[in-house]
Amino acid sequence: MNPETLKYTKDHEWVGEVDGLYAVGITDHAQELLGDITYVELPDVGTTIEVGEELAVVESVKAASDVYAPVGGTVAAINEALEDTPELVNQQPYGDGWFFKMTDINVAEFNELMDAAAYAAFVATEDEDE
Amino acid sequence: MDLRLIDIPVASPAEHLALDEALLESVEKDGAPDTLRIWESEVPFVVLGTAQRVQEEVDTTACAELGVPILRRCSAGGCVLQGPGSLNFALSLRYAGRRELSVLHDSYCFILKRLSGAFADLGITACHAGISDMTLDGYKISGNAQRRKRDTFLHHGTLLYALQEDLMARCIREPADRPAYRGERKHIDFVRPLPLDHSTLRGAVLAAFDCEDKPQALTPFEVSAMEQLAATRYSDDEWTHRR
Repeated sequence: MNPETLKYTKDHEWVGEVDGLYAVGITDHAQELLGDITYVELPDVGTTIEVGEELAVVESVKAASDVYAPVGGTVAAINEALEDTPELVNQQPYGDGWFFKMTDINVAEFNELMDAAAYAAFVATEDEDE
Repeated sequence: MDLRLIDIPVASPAEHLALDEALLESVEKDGAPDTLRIWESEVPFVVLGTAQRVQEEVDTTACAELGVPILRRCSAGGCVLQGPGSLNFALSLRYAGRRELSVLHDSYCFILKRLSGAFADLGITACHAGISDMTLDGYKISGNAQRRKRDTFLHHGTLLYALQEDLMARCIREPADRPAYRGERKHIDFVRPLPLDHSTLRGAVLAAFDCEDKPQALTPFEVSAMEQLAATRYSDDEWTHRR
């Protein structure tokens, strides 16, 4: 995926359309902060969820962090490669390190997400605040 | 730090784990203040990190023979033998724009520095080692792990002041992943109790986080969440043995 064309949440997740589905992962900034990722707990295919609800858990250096649904919708596929190679999230956060794909999403919520420029500005602001 | 103290008797290992998670949920979703909980289980039990594999970490046969329950907590990290001699502190804290809390590695440094400062006041030179351990003279005295949500995180820490050497040796397998400072040492050659009694250690934890020794009651939300989690997830073999 090209990070420039993705949409982003304030929880540091990205969403991008692929062949009619919406792939979701965590951003490069998020994986850098988490450090070496050792496990990703993914939702069941078919799970229907509202925006902002907890949908996955990513474990890194002795911390398990929740991942939230960036938009409402239904989980259509999960990245089973992460079971044995969770380090893909560190290596290719916008590529083979995707988490799950959604269908029947709430398009209005998708359209409200940040574009790449807005996300970059958000991260810069967050760093300044801290 | 302006912390509420929770220090109440709890009936079972499942309720201990459930209460830690209930307090995290309460701070995250129900407006409870930042919280420090202190607890120690009266009975031994083995607790796995949220993603660990049971068969790699625990001798399940020995646990069954010895009557030591196996549970799985909601936070990350390694396998621990709980029970008498292992004092736990559980912080549920909002990030609230504080980089020392919102950035994972910084939060370990911040929390363990405060603890080591409190120990220094007692003449004990404890150090932050590995990702989230504390050591005394190269021996592990504390392990720490976290569960992180959108606005709040739960930081669990164990502080050893007495060892259950036989149970530790029989119930917990030697781990494949080891911090560099551990080398090839077995559990029993790697951990050491702090030279403090329960009361002094408890006081040091309170001092570390500037927490007044005035325990508060649980809110109705917390009681309900604890009971529900203890009866479901933390009593569920499917959860414990999911990996």
